[in-house]
Amino acid sequence: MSRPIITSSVVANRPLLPPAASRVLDSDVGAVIGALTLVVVGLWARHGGVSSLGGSATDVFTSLASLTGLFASEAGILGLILVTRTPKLERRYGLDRLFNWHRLLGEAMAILLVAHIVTSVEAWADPSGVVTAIKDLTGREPYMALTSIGTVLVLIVTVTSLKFFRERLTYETWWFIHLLSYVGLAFSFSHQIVLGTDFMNDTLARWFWIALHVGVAAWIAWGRWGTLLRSLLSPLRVESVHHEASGVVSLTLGGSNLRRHRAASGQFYFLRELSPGRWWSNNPFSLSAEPTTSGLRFTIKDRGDASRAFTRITEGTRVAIEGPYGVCTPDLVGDDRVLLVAGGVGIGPIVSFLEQLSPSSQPVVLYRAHAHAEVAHADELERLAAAHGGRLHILVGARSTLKVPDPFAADVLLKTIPDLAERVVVVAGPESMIKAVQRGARKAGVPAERIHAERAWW
Amino acid sequence: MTENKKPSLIRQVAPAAVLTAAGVGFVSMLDNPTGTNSVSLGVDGGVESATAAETSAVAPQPTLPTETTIAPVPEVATTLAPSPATSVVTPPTQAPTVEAAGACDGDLVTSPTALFRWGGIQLQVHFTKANVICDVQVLQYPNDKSKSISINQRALPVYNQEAVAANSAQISAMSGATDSWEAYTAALQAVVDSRS
Repeated sequence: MSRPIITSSVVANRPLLPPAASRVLDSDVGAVIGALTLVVVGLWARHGGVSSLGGSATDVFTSLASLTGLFASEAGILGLILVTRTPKLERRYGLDRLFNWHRLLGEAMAILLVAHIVTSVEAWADPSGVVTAIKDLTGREPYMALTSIGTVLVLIVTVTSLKFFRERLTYETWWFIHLLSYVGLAFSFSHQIVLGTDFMNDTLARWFWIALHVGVAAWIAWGRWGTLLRSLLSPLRVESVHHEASGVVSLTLGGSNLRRHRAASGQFYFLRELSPGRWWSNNPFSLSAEPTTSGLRFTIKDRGDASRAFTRITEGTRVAIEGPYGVCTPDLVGDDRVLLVAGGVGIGPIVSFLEQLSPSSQPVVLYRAHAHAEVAHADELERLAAAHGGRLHILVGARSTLKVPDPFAADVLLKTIPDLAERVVVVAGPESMIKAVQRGARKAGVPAERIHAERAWW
Repeated sequence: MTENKKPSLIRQVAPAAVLTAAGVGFVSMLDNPTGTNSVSLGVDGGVESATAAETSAVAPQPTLPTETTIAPVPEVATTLAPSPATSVVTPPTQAPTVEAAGACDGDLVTSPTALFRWGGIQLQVHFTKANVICDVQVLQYPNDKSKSISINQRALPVYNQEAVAANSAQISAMSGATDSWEAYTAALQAVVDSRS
């Protein structure tokens, strides 16, 4: 992106500067996780966790209960840090990867939680039996009634996040259920301090643990509410609405505060329509044009959910934006040649990508759509591809009507693009298509680190 | 966004080194109970005879335990205190302020062992000449499990202080140590009842 930076305020329209790069390294993240793990294991070992392993069965279970409980807490804390949307982490890894790690840590936490419950019941079962132990641990011991409710909430959140249930819930329902995890974690925190053998006897450990939790809570409040507040204080306005294809519209949002805004092609925002009945809904959409001071364009397809309201938005409506997010931006390509693959409304980020590519990129654009009526931005794509010395292939129709069973198989790709192995591959669209393209491109000789995928945000 | 140049080795290693050092330092500052028997609440240890203490015997009263409110049946054998009293040995976690309650120059009474599901609690209660509780020592508490030990080591010194402050068995339970509280107050109540 070697564009001249025009600073004169007289110029009405200039591309926005890309967001500043993050200086966070993988080793920094590893150091934080490692140090927290060290402290957690150290707490457990210093408080007799290791020596108890050589004791009676009850001692062993007590020790394991405290270790699994500590690890579950650690997984919870790290998982929460990932969703603070801290810019330094987001710029480095991208929101979708952070969300994915958050999900993995959530699953790990649920497994540790179950292990913690089983070992705690075993530890309490001596000498009065499992039934008494369960009674004690669900009510009789202090704060355990609260903790039991919290545990159930956390497990509900984890289960509803499993793919099977997640696909059967609307985003809004799932999100509201997900909020319960904060309540669940807060509820179960009390029993760690009061019953946890690591914290009730050791003042230093107790204050460390409290400080850690309060710190993460403050971090989340700052990151999420701060972002929300900023977005509400400086909303943009819908400046134009264009019908692009069947069920697909593009919106351009503008406002004077874009002048100091930084963003790059390929990034996405959470949009919140500020109108009665809609203000609480916050949905992610990708840029579909190079972001400039005159506006941010989003291409939105009516998928029957929250996106429908956005396809019916009218000019002049105020929209609060959170972002930009995403690390799949044109600087990944540099001066290399590139293959851009779009599926459905994933064409949005690909159009914006094309606008910021260097002249030497000779882009090949593969655009996969279900029907001709759904093809959006075709003229724009044609013009941009030609301007960069590239070409456009649009592949329309259901999979069964295609000439080849897998349009992204390595041999099919290589026939269309003989120099594929030397190209950077960028793919945006549904998960299944991303997987198919990754598989085909890898087989055709593109190294994994030169294949970049952006989930379709719309 | 991609980095233009590779970060230096120092930049990569320094955060890990600093955080690891901080973590190790923190862990080494934590309490480290070195095992199950090293800390005692006055069960054993250097026993010195308290010269001022006139060891008096509580007459065994078989009817006593039925009046206490312990849910699990307490063992009623009201033991007599052995002649060398342990009141001089103050457990490390116990605040020395209990001594400020007044001169402990009265009777030294050993309670019956209150049995509950984790074991038994037995107390030695020291009175002033004016029959006011001036010191309580725990002779025995459940110490076969590390969980019992950690709970009781935290709760019993507090109960001791509260008993002296209240001069009765009407003390409040500490969260996480309710079972111990029941046994403790039962044992203490037995002593108080025996002197009224």
